[in-house]
Amino acid sequence: MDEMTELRDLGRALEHAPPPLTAPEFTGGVRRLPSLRGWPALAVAAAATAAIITVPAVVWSGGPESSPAASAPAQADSSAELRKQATDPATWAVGLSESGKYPAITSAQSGVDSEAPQQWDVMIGVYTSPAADSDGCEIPTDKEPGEKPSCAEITTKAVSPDAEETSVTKLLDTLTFKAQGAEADGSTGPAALGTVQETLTLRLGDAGRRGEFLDALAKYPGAERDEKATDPIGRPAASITIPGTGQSHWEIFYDAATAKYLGGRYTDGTGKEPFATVILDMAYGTKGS
Amino acid sequence: MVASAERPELFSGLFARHADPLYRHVSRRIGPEAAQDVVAETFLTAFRKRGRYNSAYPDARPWLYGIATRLVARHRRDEMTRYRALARTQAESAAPAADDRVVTDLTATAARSALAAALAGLSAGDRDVLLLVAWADLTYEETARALGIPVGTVRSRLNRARRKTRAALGANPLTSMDEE
Repeated sequence: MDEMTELRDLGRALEHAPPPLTAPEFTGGVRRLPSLRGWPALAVAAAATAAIITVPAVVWSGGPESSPAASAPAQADSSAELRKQATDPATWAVGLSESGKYPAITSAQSGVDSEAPQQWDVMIGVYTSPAADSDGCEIPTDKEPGEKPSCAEITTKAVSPDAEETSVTKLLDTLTFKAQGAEADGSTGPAALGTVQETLTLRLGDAGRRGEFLDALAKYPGAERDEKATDPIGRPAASITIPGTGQSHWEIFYDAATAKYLGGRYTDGTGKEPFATVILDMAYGTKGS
Repeated sequence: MVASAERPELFSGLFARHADPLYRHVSRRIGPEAAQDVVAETFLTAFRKRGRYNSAYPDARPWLYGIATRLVARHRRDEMTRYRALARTQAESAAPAADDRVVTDLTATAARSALAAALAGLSAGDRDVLLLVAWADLTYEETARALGIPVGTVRSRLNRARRKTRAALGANPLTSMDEE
C-alpha cells in the first residue's frame, strides 16, 4: 500500500458526516469586474461580438482562416436571414469527420456574412471570460483535445467525445457564474447561451444526459419551459427561456423527443434584432475512437 | 418578463451542490465544529467574490476548495493539535499482540499515527497541496488553480510531501512490516 492510499484511509477515518448545513443568506450585488464602459466603441463591439459568436467558436477542418469567429455583427431581421440560409435541407446532412471522433455539425447563425449553411467537422468551444479583451488573444486552432490557449483570458474546451464525462453539476456551476459574474459587463445572455450551446452540441452526446441537463436548466430561477414553441427558422420545438440582465433573455430550442439542440436566440431587450443560431444537422462523435 | 439584474439566490444552488463534500474535506483537517464555520465562511467569501470568478472554468470546486484552504490556515493551531494528538494516541495504543487480525489493525493504526505525525511536520504549503490532491481528489491543474500557484509548484510540493510521508511510513517498524 503506498503513502497516498494510506493517506486517503486516514482521511476517511478523520472525516465527519455533515450536519444539516444551512446556506448563508446570499444577498447583495455583484462586485463589479472592470467595466467595459469607457472603452473605445470599437473594442466594446468587438468584445461583445466575440462573446457571442466564439462560444462555441467553430474551426473549419480546413484551417483557422475559415473560422466564422471574425464574422460581422448581427444584422437586421435575423430570423429572415436564418431562414434564407436554411432554405435547402438537402445541404444540411452531415457525416462524421474522418476519424469519426468529433461531432460534425451544420449550422447557420444570424450575423454571419454567408447565405450558405456552415459545416464543421472539428469544433473548439471557446469561453470568453467577462473581462477578456478581444485584442491580443488568438483563438486557438488546435484540433487536439487538451491544448492550452496562449492567452490567459481564453480557455479552450477541446471537443471530443471524452468531454461527455463532464457532469451536469459542473455545467450548472458554470451557468451560475455566467449568470452572475458575467452580468458585470452585460454579456450574461451571450455567454450563458454559448455555454448551453456548447454543452448540448458538444459535450452531451447521450440523449438521457442532455435531457437531464435541460431539466436542470428548466428549474433555473426564472426559467420558463414551453413544449410548443417554434425555433428561429420555424421548426416545432420545445424551448426554455432564461431571464438575463434587465429586459434581456435567451431561449434554448431543442427537440422534445431526443433532447437534440436546435438553436438559441438572445434578445438584449433594447429593441435590437435578436442574435440567433440554429443547428441544421449534426452527428455526435464516437467515444474513444 | 422582467428579470432581476442580479440574482444572488442562484448561489444557493452552488451551496447545495458543494457544501457537504466541502464540509467532509474540511472536517478531516480541523474537526467538525470549526469545519462548519469554515464552510459557511467559504461560501460567503465566494459569494462576495463571485463577480471575479473566471467563468472559463466549468467547475467551481477548485475555487471553493482554494477559499476553504485559505480559511483553514486560520485554524492552523487546531489542525496541528489534531494531528499531534492522533499521532500520540494511536502510537500509545499500538501494543504488541499475536493475533493476525490485531496485528493488521495495529499496522493500520501505526500507519495512521506515522502519517498524522508526518502531516504535522510538513510545511503549510506542502500540506495544502498534498491534502487537496489526496483528500479532495483535485487534479494537479485544479490544485494549482485552487491555490493560485503554477502547476510545476504543485508537482514539486507534492513530490516533497509524498517523500516525507513515505519516509515516515517506512521508518515505522509496524508499517514497514506490512510491505515485507
